Amino acid sequence: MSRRGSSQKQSSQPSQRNQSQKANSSQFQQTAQEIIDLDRVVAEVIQYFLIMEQKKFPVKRNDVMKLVPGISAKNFKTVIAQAQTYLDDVFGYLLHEFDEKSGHYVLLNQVIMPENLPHQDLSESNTILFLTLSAIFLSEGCIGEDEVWNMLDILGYKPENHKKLVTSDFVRQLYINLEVIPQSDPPRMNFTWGERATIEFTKKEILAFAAKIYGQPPEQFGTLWNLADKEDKAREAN
Amino acid sequence: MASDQQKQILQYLLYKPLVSLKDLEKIYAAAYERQGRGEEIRDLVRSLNDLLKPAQLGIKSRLCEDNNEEYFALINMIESEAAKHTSEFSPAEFELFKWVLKEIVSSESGSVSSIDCINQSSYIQKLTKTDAQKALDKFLASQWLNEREGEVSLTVRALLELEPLLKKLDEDLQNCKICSKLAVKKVACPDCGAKFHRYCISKLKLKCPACHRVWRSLEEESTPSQMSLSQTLSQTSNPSTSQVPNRRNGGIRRGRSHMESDDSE
Repeated sequence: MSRRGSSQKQSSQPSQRNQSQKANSSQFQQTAQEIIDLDRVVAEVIQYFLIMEQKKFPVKRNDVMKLVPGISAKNFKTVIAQAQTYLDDVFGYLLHEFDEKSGHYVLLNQVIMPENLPHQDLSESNTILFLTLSAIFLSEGCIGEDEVWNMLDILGYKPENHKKLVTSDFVRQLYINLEVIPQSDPPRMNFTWGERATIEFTKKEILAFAAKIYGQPPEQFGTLWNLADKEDKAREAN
Repeated sequence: MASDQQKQILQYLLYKPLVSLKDLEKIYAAAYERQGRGEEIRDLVRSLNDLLKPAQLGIKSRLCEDNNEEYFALINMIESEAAKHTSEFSPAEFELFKWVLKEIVSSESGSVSSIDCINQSSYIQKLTKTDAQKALDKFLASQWLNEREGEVSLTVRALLELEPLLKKLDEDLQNCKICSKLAVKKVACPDCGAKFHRYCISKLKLKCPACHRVWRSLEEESTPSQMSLSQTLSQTSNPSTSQVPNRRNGGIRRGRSHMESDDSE
């Protein structure tokens, strides 16, 4: 913090000096205020990211601007940068921004959790997510909704119980994209991988999961194995 | 900068913010692949708190009012605006939650029956009985509330993180005069009305630190009629095993009986 220009000298023009002294000291106060509050703003942003991550919802820049007191267009970059450093240093989360323009973020976990230390509900929804992503992948990236409902039904997951999860929650979480098939009547949808799935899971991981379901080693999946392999090599090259 | 193990433990605590001391020992063992010696657990909590400061989060601990065991909770140290807006509860669920909190803190037993909670849905718009049951399950799963034998009470997490809200819901809510922690499940000194935890006053052999009156048993209440009843009964039998009739809900009583027999030391 720097004192800007305030001085102790007596002046022959007291009123002018007092004016400028007052202006300088209030500038000083404002700077002190901004710095103190910045820590608080960063804390609130960190907390917001952590809470949203528990639900696996992406964080939108607009929401951050709306909900976090003290944040402004001026300090946004600084605050996000500090939050990013902290989340990585302390929690092992990488803050990933999808798209400079659209401005939404997710946290990617960099920490390998020991098996006896769970950190999320490894429950039904995760299984259904992997099943759906596998189905999409095995269908070369795009699959009709009816095939997905059939698959889940066969595996014991009644579609009516899980429709909201797949078409609403997974979409909101950016794991799945929905597209209405043009001129379909009644309207049917296609599923593709969402952008979060693309950065969070490797094709190899999903293929390994599918391989277990089908009881067939991943290498036997032909072009899909090649795709997964290529992706791996591309990642290593980066 | 946190070590890998500290990151793992912090991520676990984000997912399950409330842990007992035993849980914490297991968590330590899972992350460090060996048992932690006594002080190491405390040191872990201290080091995690240092790491958490910039996020205005903290791990606090206190004794559970039910079993006197130590619990740790990862809590928010500020009233976060953003957190309010991202609440996992719908407005109707939150209204029920506040009602439950208020009922709990204004009761002496520090609990409310789960049936009453479900029935309260009649007074809340957009909340059916089924919704209320789902909401109650949510409150239990997110570790704000406990349910035992049909009675719902606060977890240590709620006691630690929601204290400002609880004090707003009931102005009479006080801290135990012995341990200085918030006392939701409490007993009052029949003479001076000071509030204590049962465990705390039992440790002082039932002698009120405020007015020095020695209670004959934990069943003495601050209303005269009840007092004379218990006095009468305790005069006719050994005070340490006085069979004072239970006026409270049987469910609560059963959980305490092992402790009350300890009074006869």
